[in-house]
Amino acid sequence: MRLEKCWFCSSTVYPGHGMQFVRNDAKVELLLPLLCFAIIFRRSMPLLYVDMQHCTCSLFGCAILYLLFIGAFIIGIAKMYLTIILLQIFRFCRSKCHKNFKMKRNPRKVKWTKAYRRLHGKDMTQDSTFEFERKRNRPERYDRNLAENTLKAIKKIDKVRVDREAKHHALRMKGKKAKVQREATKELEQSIHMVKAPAALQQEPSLALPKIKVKVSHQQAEEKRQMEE
Amino acid sequence: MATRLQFENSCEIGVFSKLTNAYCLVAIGGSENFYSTFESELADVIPVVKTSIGGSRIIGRLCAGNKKGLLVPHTITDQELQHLRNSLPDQVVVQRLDERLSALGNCIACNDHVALTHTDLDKETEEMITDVLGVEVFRQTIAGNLLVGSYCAFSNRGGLVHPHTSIEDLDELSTLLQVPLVAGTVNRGSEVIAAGMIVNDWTAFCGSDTTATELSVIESVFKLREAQPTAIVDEMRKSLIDSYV
Repeated sequence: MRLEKCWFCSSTVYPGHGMQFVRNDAKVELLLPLLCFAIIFRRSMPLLYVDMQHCTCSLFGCAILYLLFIGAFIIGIAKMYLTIILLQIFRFCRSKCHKNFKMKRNPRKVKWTKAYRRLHGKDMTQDSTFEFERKRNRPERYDRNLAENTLKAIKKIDKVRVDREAKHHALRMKGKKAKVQREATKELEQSIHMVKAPAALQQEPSLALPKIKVKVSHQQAEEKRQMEE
Repeated sequence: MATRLQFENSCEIGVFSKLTNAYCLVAIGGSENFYSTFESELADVIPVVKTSIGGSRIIGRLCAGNKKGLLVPHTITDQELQHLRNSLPDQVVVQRLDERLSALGNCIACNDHVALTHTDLDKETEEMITDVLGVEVFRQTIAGNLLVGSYCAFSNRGGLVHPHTSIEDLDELSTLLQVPLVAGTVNRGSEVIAAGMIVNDWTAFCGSDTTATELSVIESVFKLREAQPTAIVDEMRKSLIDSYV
């Protein structure tokens, strides 16, 4: 049993959930210089969101590709295409992600995915805690002490990672206090009529700004009463 | 000394087991007869490890290795990988590969010094083979077949290839691998050599359908007969005994 990540939204796919799509024969035509650059430096290309380590070049070895690239550059050939064959296993956590994939949506442009959030700086990207969770292809002999320490370490690392993510979020949300205050006073001045009718405002002093009291002399008030009677 | 055996009524031994100079892998679910044959020959010398790869029993065709290392495909589960690592000696490096051609036993044929691989293998996989197995890698075909791992079986002392290999190809391969090669069959004319037999420097196991002729060819090309004391005595008798009275 292995907990995989959904290719689209990057959430964990638990056993018994989701779908898997194995593409073993996707042939892609790529610009030769770009391909050379990608193979040599082993970075995932911006055009395709496919991991280059699963590519196999069916025609040339790496060194020859590089020479061809240089040759093409010198001769001035604008484009040289090369087909490569890809293996990728796409795992999806639920049909929502699968359907989005079938619609050929780029997860980096779909707002609710982790890929988008990471790309646009909403979530933490580079951290040393992510290094611990990498998939390893060369196992080590089982050692009871090591296993025990690993279990303890997992708990600690999780806690550290969560704390760091919270800090990142707090940092992102910081610097809003003054703006929020200004907006609140303006709203109170201008749109209080949305909340309470103006007549009610006069009766309840707490909703309006404090009234200025003007002192009236006692004789004037008495005269007015006599007149009314 | 070549032994004949069967796995669940199938003569394709090379599919269900893998033999090298440092370890032997066998599939689970077979009869105890199958295991006892291996253990009687090998138990004192090298570890015999029961395993599966990705839940399947065709381990001989999925993994490739020699005494320095073992390469397994990405379909192997983490638990099986850990089991292999725990059971094999520390000198053997166990490595999982992310490779499109995941039946590594069909794509890679190797001994302790040289490996023949499928022509379409990744550049990265080739580097991994050189690194883990400590061998020189050649991309070749055998009698026009890309699956070199299944159509030839070779050890450090000799090799057996597909029967339709031309003589030029045979010579070329022989010079590449630096071992004597013979084109032959196994299991009553089966061309898939590596599926029908497994071999290392001192033993070989074949399917029970293998004829006596095929067996003698195997024993002579892999130089297994000379290890037996009777063979040495036979050769020496001619020089020791002058005449019979």
